[in-house]
Amino acid sequence: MIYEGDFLRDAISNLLAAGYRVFAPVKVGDFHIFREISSANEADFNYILPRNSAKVALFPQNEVLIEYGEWIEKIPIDKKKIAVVGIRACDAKAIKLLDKHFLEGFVDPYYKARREELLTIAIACDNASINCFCQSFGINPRKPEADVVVSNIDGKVFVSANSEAGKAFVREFKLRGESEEESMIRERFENEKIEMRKIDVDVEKLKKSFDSPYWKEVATNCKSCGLCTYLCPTCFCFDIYDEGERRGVRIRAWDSCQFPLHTLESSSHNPRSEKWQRLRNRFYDKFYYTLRKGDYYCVGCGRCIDYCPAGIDIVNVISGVR
Amino acid sequence: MKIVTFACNWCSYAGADLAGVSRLKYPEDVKIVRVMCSGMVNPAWILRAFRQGADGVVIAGCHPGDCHYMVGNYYAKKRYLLLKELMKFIGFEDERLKLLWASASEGKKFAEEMSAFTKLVEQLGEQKQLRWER
Amino acid sequence: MNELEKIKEALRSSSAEKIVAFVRKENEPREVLAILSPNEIDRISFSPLSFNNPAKLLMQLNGKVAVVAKGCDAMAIKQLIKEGKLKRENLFIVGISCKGVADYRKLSKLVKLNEVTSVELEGDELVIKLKNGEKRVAFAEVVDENCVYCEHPTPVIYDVLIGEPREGKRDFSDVEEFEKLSREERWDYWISQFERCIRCHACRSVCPLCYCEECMVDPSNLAISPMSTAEDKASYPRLLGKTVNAKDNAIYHILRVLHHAGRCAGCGECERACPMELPLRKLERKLEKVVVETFGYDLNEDIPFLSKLDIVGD
Repeated sequence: MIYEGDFLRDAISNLLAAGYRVFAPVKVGDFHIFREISSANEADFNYILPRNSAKVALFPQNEVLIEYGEWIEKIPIDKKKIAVVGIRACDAKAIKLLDKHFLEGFVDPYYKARREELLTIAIACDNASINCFCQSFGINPRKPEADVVVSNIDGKVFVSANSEAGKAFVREFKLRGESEEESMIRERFENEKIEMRKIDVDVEKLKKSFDSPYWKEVATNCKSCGLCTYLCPTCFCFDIYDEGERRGVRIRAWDSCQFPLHTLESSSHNPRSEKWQRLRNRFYDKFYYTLRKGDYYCVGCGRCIDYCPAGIDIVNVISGVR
Repeated sequence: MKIVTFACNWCSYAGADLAGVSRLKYPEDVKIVRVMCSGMVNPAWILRAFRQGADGVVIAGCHPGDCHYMVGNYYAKKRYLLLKELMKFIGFEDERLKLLWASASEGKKFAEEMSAFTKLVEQLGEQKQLRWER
Repeated sequence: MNELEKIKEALRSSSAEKIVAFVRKENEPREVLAILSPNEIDRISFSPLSFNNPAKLLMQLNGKVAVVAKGCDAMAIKQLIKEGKLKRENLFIVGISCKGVADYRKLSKLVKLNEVTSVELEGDELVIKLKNGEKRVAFAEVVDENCVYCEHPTPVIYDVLIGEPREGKRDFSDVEEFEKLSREERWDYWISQFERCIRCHACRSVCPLCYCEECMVDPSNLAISPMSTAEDKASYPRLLGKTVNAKDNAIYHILRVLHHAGRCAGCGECERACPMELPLRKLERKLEKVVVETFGYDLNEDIPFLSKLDIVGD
């Protein structure tokens, strides 16, 4: 269907008016960050990919679980509805991968409360950036798996709703049907493959390279800074800290498998004390250990390649495993 | 007002003691923390004090050349200068940080300086820039 | 012989067992650091996009090491030698008189990076070689802002110098400009910058002068031994929490920069690594100004700044 006007901005206004918390990309300096916004004109959609990922909406960097003082007060879980507007296909798939982790097996009540009523509005990609490789994972950048998908083709705004929640949402908007020609244009757009990098994942080779000196070589420049995990849309490690003395809080905060003390045990033994062990673990987690959950846990967004200060490139590392 | 004073054990803390013994009044807003030497004061503690709601912080030590550990107060002055300049640069009200040289016999000076500083901080008002509570 | 050939020749003349130098990154037109053996010298590359600092990598190596260092890199190496983290006799430094590096982010706005094959500096122009054709821009438009204020473009220590010695300049006009703003403007500016920080600690991880195993402002990085009791670990002084908000971030950055007073080499790696593009160099430069003007210390002296105890006034 086609919308005459700026669908994304109108959608944000509607969502804010309906009491949703809206997360959308905000332009800061020269780049975009995903943030909670309070008015529709804060959002800006002129980007290929925002710096951080949409997981900040579902899995915030800091979350207070308990407050303690004279009594222990459990902080009630925030049940306000959340909408994420302006994500790309990679981030949309990442949300499904996070669902597998947080909602299957032990159900995380905080994640569940936010995810139940989550509305995702995605934008179809026109082109890839220099380090995108989502197509290697079967993701179609022009057909994100989100509740509502907005595509800008030939100056027209195409809107499609892919789920019950999405259909209910777009009913409030005046959308007109597509002509045959417009349908053809849209289908051609959706089925076109974009030129981008490819990653070759050979899980068998990966399994056999556990003791290989290859990982020491790869980790030469790694500084264990943890940036890759903080920007990654599917990384989910967290730690729980108590802060305060007589009165304080217990918070859940992002942790990174790359920090040196991530695997420190109470006996003071640290099985991953060297940075090449931690780096190897990260690649194994993304492409081998998580196969137990049924899918690779990488969506090919390329943020870790763009921003790694040491220049470590996940595509080269995995394709060149020996 | 909450004013935290890091007073060195050998000179300024003794000076504060003397002010107390001589019944010289200075405001109760001043809370004194005894450290062995003013050179022991870590800028992290000063920032932490501001973060937890202190309205003013004073580092009190021996006069230059009189430090019990020879050069401790020189380090204190260096750190104080660097921290103050940086705070000024980021727009923090750097008048809230003070460095005081007071010897063990200067009880009167200690009391007077504390009173004057408290008045200054009262004029500035509550510190809201770095204070953080949930 | 062009610059790259001279570098390779200088490296061949050393007796080092390992070489730390730049190699071309696959898929992108810039270089990254690598540790090579003497028979891999031909893999080495160098261009205006070789902006990483090898000093941090040197600390993990033993034995005789040859290294390719630009002006700021050599200053970082000198600071580490002053502080006892590196030994001068173990290093063979090929110093490059640096004309500045290009800002990768500025470059990515001028051209599409996946069309660039290489970049070269020719006089005052940056020649960007594309897959089909080339583009020329004035170097002044893409140079890293940090390099504009460089004080030591010629390496302060070296065994072989490539290129003619160049004069740096001491110019704190950017800091002075900022100081002219009112207090509210400065605070509003800095708090809005610190709001963006996600405390990923990338700035600390790439800085060669941040080598403490236990960082004072990181509650998740403690120096614990098998002998530490649970009581010790629980009551460890935590100066900063894991909560990420503008004020805690401000404290983190102030403390980190304070630890670099008189030590910062000015390589700019912190600002490049930051994913949220915080203006970290501004803070460091303010401290450099204080160190130079108020304390009269020059980074090139042989005594660390912390050992000098001249007191200034009262």
